[in-house]
Amino acid sequence: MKKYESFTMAVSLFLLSLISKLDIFGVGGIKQDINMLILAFKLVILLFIISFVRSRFGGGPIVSIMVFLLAYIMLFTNYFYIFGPAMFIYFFIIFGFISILFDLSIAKPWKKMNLGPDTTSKEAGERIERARSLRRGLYG
Amino acid sequence: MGKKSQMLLITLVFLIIMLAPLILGKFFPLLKVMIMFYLALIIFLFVRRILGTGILSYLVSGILIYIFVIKFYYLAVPVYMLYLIGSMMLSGIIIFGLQKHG
Repeated sequence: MKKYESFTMAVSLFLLSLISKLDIFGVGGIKQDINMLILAFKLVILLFIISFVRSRFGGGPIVSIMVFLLAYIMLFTNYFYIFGPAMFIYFFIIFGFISILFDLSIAKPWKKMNLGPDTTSKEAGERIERARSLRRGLYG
Repeated sequence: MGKKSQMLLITLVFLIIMLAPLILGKFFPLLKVMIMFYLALIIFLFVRRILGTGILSYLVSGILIYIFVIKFYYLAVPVYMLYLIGSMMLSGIIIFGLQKHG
């Protein structure tokens, strides 16, 4: 694995430099950044709530009240700690990130595939010949 | 090629696809501006589809554009590329294409 050490170092340095763009080393910067990301996430959830309710119930004042209620319960109460991760997983599914994990689980690139014994034409021929000779021995 | 190197190769291809716009944007500043404009357009169209045209739509898309395109450009672009790979089902092509049988 020594061969890949320099490569791994380079990639991790690059990723670190990317993370440092988030002001991770600044005093209190990371907390502000995370709060901003949570704000954006909440806005996206709000948009999804609006889209969900409108697509099912159309427009009107009752629908607006429903949107406000749902948004209040999901975003501004303590239930956000339940709904937030749930919505995160939902976004993972609908945006197709799960398909990557699914493909990986089918392909199993970390596991050596067992395709059974090699069957070359020569081996197949030998097997047929053996069966013929056995038959000749049995039936004359 | 061992199992570890195969997994590393797949990870490397994903990383290259995700980071390519960032690296290219570093060398060609105009490309970075184009990518930013494209992301802003995507966000605005997404918001307009849900909220319709109006002042609220501009406000929400403005906030989202500031956060995702200006503030977290280095986070949003790789995530968007990953989203493209996932939504266009390119992950199967990459993973199965790089898979070594036997």
